[in-house]
Amino acid sequence: MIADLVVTFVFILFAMVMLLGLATLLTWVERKLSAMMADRIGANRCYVKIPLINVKLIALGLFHAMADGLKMMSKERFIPKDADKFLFLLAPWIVFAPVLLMFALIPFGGIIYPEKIFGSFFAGKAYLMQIAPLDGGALIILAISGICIIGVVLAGWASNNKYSLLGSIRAASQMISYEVALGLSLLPMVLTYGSLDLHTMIVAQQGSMLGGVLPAWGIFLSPLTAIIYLTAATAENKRIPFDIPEAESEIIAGFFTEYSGMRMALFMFAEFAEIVIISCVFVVFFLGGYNLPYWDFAGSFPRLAIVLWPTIFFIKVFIVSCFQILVRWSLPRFRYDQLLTFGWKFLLPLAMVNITVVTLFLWLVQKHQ
Amino acid sequence: MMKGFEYFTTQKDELLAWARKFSIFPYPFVTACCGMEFMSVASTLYDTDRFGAALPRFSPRQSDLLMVVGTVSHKQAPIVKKIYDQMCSPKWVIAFGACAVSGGVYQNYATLKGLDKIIPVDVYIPGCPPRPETVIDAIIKLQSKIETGVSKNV
Amino acid sequence: MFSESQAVADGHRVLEVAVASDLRSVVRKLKEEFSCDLLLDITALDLLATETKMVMVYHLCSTKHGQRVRVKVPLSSTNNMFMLPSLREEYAAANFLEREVHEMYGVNFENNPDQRNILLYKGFVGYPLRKDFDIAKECPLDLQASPIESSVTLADDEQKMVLNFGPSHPATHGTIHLVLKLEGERIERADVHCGYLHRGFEKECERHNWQNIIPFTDRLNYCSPLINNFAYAEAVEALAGITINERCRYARTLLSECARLCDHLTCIAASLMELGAMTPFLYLMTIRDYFYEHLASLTGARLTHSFVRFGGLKSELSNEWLAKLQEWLCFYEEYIKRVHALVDRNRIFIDRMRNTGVISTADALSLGFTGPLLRSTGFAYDLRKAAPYLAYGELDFEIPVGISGDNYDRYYVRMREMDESVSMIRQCMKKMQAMAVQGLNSVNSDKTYFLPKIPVVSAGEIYKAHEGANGELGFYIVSVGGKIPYKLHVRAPSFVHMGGFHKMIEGDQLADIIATFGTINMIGGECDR
Repeated sequence: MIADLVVTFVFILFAMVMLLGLATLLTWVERKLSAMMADRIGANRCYVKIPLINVKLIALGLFHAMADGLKMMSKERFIPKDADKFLFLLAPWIVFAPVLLMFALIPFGGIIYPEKIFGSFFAGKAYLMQIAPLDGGALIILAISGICIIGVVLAGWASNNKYSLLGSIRAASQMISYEVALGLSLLPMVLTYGSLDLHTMIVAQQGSMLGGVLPAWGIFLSPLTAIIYLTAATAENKRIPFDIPEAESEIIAGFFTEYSGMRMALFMFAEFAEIVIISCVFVVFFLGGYNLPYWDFAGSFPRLAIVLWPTIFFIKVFIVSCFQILVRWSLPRFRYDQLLTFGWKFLLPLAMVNITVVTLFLWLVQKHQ
Repeated sequence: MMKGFEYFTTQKDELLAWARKFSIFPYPFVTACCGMEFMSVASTLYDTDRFGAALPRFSPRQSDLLMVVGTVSHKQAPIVKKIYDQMCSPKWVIAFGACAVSGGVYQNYATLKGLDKIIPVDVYIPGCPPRPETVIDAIIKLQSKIETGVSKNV
Repeated sequence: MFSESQAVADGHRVLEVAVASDLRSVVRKLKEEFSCDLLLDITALDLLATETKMVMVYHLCSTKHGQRVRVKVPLSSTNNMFMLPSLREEYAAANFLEREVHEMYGVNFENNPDQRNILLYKGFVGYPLRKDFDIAKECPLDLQASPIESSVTLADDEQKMVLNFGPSHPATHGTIHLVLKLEGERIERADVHCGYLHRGFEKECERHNWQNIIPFTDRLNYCSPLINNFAYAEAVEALAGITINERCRYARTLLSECARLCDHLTCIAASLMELGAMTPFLYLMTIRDYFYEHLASLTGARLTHSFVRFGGLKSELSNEWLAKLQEWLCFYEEYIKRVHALVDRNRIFIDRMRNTGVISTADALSLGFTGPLLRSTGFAYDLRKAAPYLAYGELDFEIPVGISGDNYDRYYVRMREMDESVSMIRQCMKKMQAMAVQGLNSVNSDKTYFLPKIPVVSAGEIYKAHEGANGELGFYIVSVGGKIPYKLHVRAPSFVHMGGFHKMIEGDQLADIIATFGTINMIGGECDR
């Protein structure tokens, strides 16, 4: 019992550090990547003085992200006079909390036997490296991600600001529309792997296909599904080209126009944390999770696996996140109605056709077996 | 006991000053010619992002630095004042260009003779319009001002 | 209607309308019989001190015949009131122009109900451009009052939203205030307010000598100051009877095109940034910065060059400078390719730009639009071809036109114009490199230039226009002799364009304002003066 608690606690700690750390890192990556794309240098002046030796540590401007966070924490916390105070204060947390929750369902490693490393305290126990190993993981992820909308809508409404209201109305219609496509985009993979459990999916992606040329990853099984998912997920996350709800040059900052300091930081941070979550889900569904292709290192080095699994998972997530950032810096943004048209009239039918095709294909395969 | 407490408060102040110094979200209140140079300063060749001062927030609640770029006319003055009042503390103000500093060449019925007639200004940037290097110098000056805590606006 | 003797030096036929109430019938006749399709400008001339009258001055243009007409209407006061009929039914452009004359000179227009202040704030006392108005007058500053008077109202039972858009809005360049009535996100009505950058340019000119006005012209359209410089200088030179030599003509043409290039770069960059495309914005800014630096190496200033002198230029364009310019042009071609690749056929970009902010040719003409805006509707009117000035008559270039007058066309017209500009710069360069470096100043052929700083300008009036980056940039100057102008009025394309802006956005979505406003390229300095 205590052993279970300890393991879960360690997992949660790891998840928190990874999620928040990566999100912070991504704010820096975004700055640096965008700088690289535009032949700039990007943030590089923030330094920390190492005590005693008086060396200024710059670390490529990594500390800028820390400075941003710290500054926002110490900024005046402002509540508009006519705002609905309770909802105004609640909204950022409703946006932020589900993002954290979702990570509980992501498996970042296979089954470990801590007994082998840490001795008899964990005698005879096996753990899956996942905080909440639920059978319906895929469904629950979708369900939780739906909660964010409420926070966004509340934020816009409670601010009592016209721009905020416009932003939240945009957000509501956008997120609800793309929620449908998002759900449908994951369905083919659920059919393919025959499970809603995320860990089962990763296991199903081990091995290779086409005579060992390609790893049996979801992205190779059904590339279209991967594209639909990434598109719908970016729209869910409200980033360019889908950043209509907070379109800076149109409606200032959209639903969080009136938020200042830490509350505003929560919204922005939630966005980056969601990039991480989207990447996590993408890695689990389409990139074989924590495994490497062609090489079953867990079999070769069972002891190292406990470190290697999360590391590989981390690296994959990081790469997918970077890709999302690159997209953000290369495209202009949609218009409100075009976005909805794109969602309902293009992405949704496409997702449905995709499901049909995948289903037919699976049916044919089963018939011939 | 008291000494220890003092030690921590100074440490805290230093930490906050450090954070504020390297995370300046400007509110570009761009009105006139200087806006052209403001665009240059923010973009590739001069790149104020290096100083952590290039993430413009167009919501006054979220910005730290009000950059009044260009002439402030009598018609514009109430708007500037309102934006300034809407900003959350701690906040700083830069008067960008001769017009914002003193009215520049326009000493007449229509223009305000200096931004500091209506709001306190921390750093003045002369020039009509100032060269980007001058602006970068001003940002560095503002940073040292933030660090030492000498500001009219905090 | 005209007699031959009426044609005057500045290419205008002058028409005096003795009785103010005849104005409309005269103008209608001009419009119908002489196809004067563009109302370029309306201004007034304060002669109260000398002749106890006010003179209204209208500039019209027939794009078909290339004819220009100046209509003058003397007004005498009745009970200190000046009344004359409004032309807003004949030309939609008249609305904004008349509002400006109304607040600046206190002239009233009979059937124009909209006489709210436009450049000045609500409740301004006095008429700034009248001669009895003291320029240094201290105006009371009320920091609480709203500076504008909105005409958009909401009935009690109307379920719509009135939204204040600007002036301090990321997309409105800081100087335009829109009051919008929104139905959902669709704009039902838009009320455009400008004047947030009114700096009293025209009044300032009346107390500065000819030479000292040059720096002020820089700050009109601050995206392309050189064009302003040259247009102003040409007007004064024509009045003073100064001619410029061939090399100087080419040099001015070359620099005009450089300025146009910078202007279009800025415009496209800003529009793209506002649409969320940051990377192409930064590419374009990089090119522009290099051009600025190169111009600075010649003129001494990145932006406000003040490079013109009457009868010449401040300094010679050396062959090294020209050779270096060639390098930057190649650099431009390199970078602009990247922008074309990122943007031109981007589906999202096309969706945002196509069929938004549409304006028809007829509307555009009636609203007085010129420049890329007019050309994007498919109407190939360009002063550089229609009435060639400087060296444009000797250059080989095309006028790019659009098809439907939407934002995409405007974007593309500007992109193509930049290519044309580059080609023109190269042609000028070739010519100039073939010439001997002889000094640009025609009055004094010595390289170390010095003219009598303030030229002797004879009495008279003149309207000279250049094709600015945004449209026809005209200077109307009245001189009574002496060192300072009696009146200097600018026909600012941006101001006229703002008069028709509401027409381009009404019925569109909120988000289309950004694209439309971006491609119009309103420049505060010249719009509000």
